[in-house]
Amino acid sequence: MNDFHVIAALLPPCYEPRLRELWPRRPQELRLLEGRPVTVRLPGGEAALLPPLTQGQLEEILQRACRFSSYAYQETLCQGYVTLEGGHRLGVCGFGVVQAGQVTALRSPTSLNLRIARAIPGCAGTLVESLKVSTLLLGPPGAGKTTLLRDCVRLISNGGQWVGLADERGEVSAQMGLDVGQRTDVLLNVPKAEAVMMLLRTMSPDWIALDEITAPADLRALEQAAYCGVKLLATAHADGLEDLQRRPLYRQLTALGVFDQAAVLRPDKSYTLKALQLPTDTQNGRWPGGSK
Amino acid sequence: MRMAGVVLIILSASSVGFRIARGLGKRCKLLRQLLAALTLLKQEIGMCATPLPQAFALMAVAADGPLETLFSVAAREMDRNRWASPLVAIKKGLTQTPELPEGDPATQTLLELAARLGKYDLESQLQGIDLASMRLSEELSRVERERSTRSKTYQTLGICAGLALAILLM
Repeated sequence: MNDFHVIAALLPPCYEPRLRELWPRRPQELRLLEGRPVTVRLPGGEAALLPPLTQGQLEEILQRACRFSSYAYQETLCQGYVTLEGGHRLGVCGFGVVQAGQVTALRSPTSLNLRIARAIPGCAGTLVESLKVSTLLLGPPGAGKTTLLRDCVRLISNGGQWVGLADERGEVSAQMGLDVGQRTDVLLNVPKAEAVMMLLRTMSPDWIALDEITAPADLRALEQAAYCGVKLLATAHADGLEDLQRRPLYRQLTALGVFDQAAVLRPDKSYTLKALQLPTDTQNGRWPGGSK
Repeated sequence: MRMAGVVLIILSASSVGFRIARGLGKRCKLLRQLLAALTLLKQEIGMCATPLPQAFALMAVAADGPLETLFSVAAREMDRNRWASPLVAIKKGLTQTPELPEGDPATQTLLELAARLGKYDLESQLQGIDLASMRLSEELSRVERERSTRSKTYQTLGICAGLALAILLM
């Protein structure tokens, strides 16, 4: 099943002809809101698909995205998303069910955001030549971090080095449907911090790759891996090195010194490679609870 | 020639009785297999969070005969068509399983379970499977009782009816 069919199969059939017309323009995401037309975000514009969606249709789209097996996606649904085959991500907004302070379910979706993933083999061709040391891929949402990470992993792996890929959401490997190289061990659906440690202990990788550093636990795992002689490749949401220094979690990350360089992505899909300098006031700093 | 005719009448009447008795045995086997399939479904959902299309495919592999057809058709339907809910997929499978006709208590139980599958959280799914298993166990007990009490009766009736017919025609 190709990407178009995966996406079109989720929507009510009345939207298929118009979506088929728009598909060659490479849509980036579909915004589905109750009582609103479907908005298709395209490079340099938007298009609307009529008629407006009803709440029942949103519910059905979510059911279909879960293959009528919502229990199988409970973990990620509680975090507000479902990963589809092909690596596409369906973000979910609705009424949260909270028990003991934890979100246990999302019911009655009010809006959905379908981000369309695309593998672009060869997009990291020039970057991979500079990947001799641990590297952080930085960019704002939609800059193509995951696409670049996937291709870096593929090229490093096919170049003869073993890569351990901690793919918590299954988006990098698109649940193994996308090529991530012949020497890549993929650990799926395991929280990143645990996955890094499991890969380190069991698979003896030369590189460990992970998408989106988001939690202090990720930093702890990266620190342990870095000091075991493994090179790291990861992505982070930041609009440049200055932005990286402004966010507390990423300030701690740079203070650890586990990454030697950063590739800063721009919205036009170009990137600049910059050395990561330790901030002078935190050169020997550690984040709370670190085990250095 | 006449003796051959008599023997043929007795044999054919007896075979009807034996076929009815064997039908009860087959029904018991089908219900036991259905119970085993639901146990597998419960394990797949509860332990591995396997999505329903894959779970149905695994149930088809584990079963044989009519249930293999039922679950493989359901798995294929859900895999091929994202619009197909578990209920639609099971209904499609049942159209190719004459052993589970419409109105049959086991068929009803299966349809009720299919209508519930995939809609709620894990706990509700498992409760639904438990309820279906309980109903199927009750049906199995009833059929087994019927088999133990009536199986011999049907066989004897078949032979006796054959003999009676043969005597009348002689």
